[in-house]
Amino acid sequence: MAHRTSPQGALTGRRPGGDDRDVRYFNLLSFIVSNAIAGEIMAVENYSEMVHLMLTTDSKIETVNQAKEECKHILLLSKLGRSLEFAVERQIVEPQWKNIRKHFSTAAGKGDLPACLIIQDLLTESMAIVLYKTLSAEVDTDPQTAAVASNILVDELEHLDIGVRRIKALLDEDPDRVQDALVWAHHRVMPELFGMISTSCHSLCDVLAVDCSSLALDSIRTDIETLKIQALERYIETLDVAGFSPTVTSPLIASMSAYEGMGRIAVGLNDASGGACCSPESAKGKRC
Amino acid sequence: MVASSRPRSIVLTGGKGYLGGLIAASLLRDDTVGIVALVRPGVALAAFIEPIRAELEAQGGRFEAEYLDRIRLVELPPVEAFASLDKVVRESGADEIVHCAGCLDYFDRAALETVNIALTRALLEQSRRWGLRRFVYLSTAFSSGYIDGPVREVLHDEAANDPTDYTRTKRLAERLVAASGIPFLIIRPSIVIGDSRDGHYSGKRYGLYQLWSGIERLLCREWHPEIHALGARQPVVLVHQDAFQNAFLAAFRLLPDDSIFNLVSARDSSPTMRQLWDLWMRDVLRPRATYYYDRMADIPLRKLNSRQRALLALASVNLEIASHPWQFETTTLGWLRQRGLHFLDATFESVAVCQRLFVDSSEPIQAFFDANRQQLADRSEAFDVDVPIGP
Repeated sequence: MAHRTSPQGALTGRRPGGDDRDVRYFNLLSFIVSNAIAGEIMAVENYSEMVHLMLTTDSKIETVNQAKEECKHILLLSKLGRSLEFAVERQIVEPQWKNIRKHFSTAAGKGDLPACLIIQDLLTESMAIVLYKTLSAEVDTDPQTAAVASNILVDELEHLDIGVRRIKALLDEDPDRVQDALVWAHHRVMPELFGMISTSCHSLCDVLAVDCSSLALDSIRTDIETLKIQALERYIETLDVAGFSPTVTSPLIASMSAYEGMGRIAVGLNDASGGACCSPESAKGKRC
Repeated sequence: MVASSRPRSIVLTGGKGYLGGLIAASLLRDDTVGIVALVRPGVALAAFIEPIRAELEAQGGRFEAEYLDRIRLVELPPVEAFASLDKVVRESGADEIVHCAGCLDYFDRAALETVNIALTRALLEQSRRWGLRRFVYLSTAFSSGYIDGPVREVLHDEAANDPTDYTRTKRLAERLVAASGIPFLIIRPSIVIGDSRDGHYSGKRYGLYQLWSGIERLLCREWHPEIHALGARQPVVLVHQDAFQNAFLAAFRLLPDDSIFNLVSARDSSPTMRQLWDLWMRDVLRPRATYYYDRMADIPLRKLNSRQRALLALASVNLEIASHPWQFETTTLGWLRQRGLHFLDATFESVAVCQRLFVDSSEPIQAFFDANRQQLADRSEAFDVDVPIGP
């Protein structure tokens, strides 16, 4: 069956050429890759804004290079969309990215280098690593997507290493300032980042002309729950490696228990309305 | 003075929530009072009554048609427009308010201040204007903050240390209620868990259910040969939801004005955190070895498997609250029991009923059993760790 595209470019049929991935897979890629590009655009802006805060010429150059690499990622991801014929959006649509960008700018405006490094190099890069690791598993995605994601992953891991090195140095100089910056950044940025581990959106699907309800992570053999746990594990690992004490990080991680709104659960009830967390079908007669 | 005259109708806040819904179910089934339920904009009557119907059916009853005539849903306006409620409250003949609405998000200080303090203050002002006879406030057993010695059934002084801003804001709200000049009843339930008879539960992932959900999500994705847990031998003060309902009704009907009531199970028969973990180890996780610590600070978090680490961190606040040696005055509970209150204390056995239902109805846990049947240990050793492991 021939595939066709909607006026905006989103796929509505099955792929030609023996690719047995269905339209749901490419719609999901369209959604994920567009969101990834938005994150990369934000990263370019963040690194660019951070350059003047860096203390040495070498670190300024290093930061410019980081921005340049994020530009390269945008081009790679856009090319992937063209090659596999799925729509990609090359501007920031989802409000979470805009909010993170705003918080970063606030920190930069105050000259708060630790907060800037934490937001971009630790928090955002950690989440990027989870994303690109997921996409780089060829068995779950496709050869082209896996190759692009693997290339980008190498850069993001390097950015994380750079961030860890910078944060460690700052922690040695002034641990209180850096820990305060972590608390400030965590409460502003982590709810936004975790809010994006979802297949629902504010308006990205409209922009891409993708049916929101058709998006399901089983197309890449994972699920929201797995991604959230992987993101949480990666975040904890990053904070450990950067040298933050568990006495500082444990309360921050505890606060993440509220990110899902602590929906009600229904254990052993025939509540036809379901808990706040699930559909009536899945709630019926059991727990959701 | 014992409150003997029955209200025709009450104003209820938080009726869409877990405890408010239990209270609404009790009042509909066991009383004749009408309910003016103040709800958030957009809450439809069907959505309001469905959890109540489910709860009544789970308890072997049914949602009678006449209950509908006794419920009136009213949208809660912004605080500055509370006067718009005057007409409906006067028409209903309401002469008491049961204020259950609260914010439980430990980490959202602004929301805690807005809901637990500012909303309570506004409702108190409004209740004065309406000439209500009594203000019933649902607080928490932990509103004292961390204090040495027993938690008395009096207003608390400022605490040197609070588990969270939640307990602090509930304590401040209690003071507002007591200082309002309106006769009051403050009810302080501890951690509410499922029904003692069959374990059914429809609350949020708070308290014990936060820990259980965390175990399900983080420890049941793969088998762990060793598990590190915060397992102090302090009794965990729980209250079953059916006991909560019975105690609420008795307090509502019988307690004199200006009462403060610690609604908690007996400490002596309460399970310890160590026993509750043991139950998980024995029935579900079945590691080869479990290492127990008395304090979170003793756990070598960085050396742990990342999922165990994540679980302990996510549940740290509630685990620390549960590990505190709480002792509650239970004079009022004793007084109510003497007057016929049937109150079943939470025990190891009754909590096990709740856990069993949780486990049996969990698809991830059943999948964990299927995937790890070969590895689950027949015998599990437990070790008490007094100091951090390793250098």
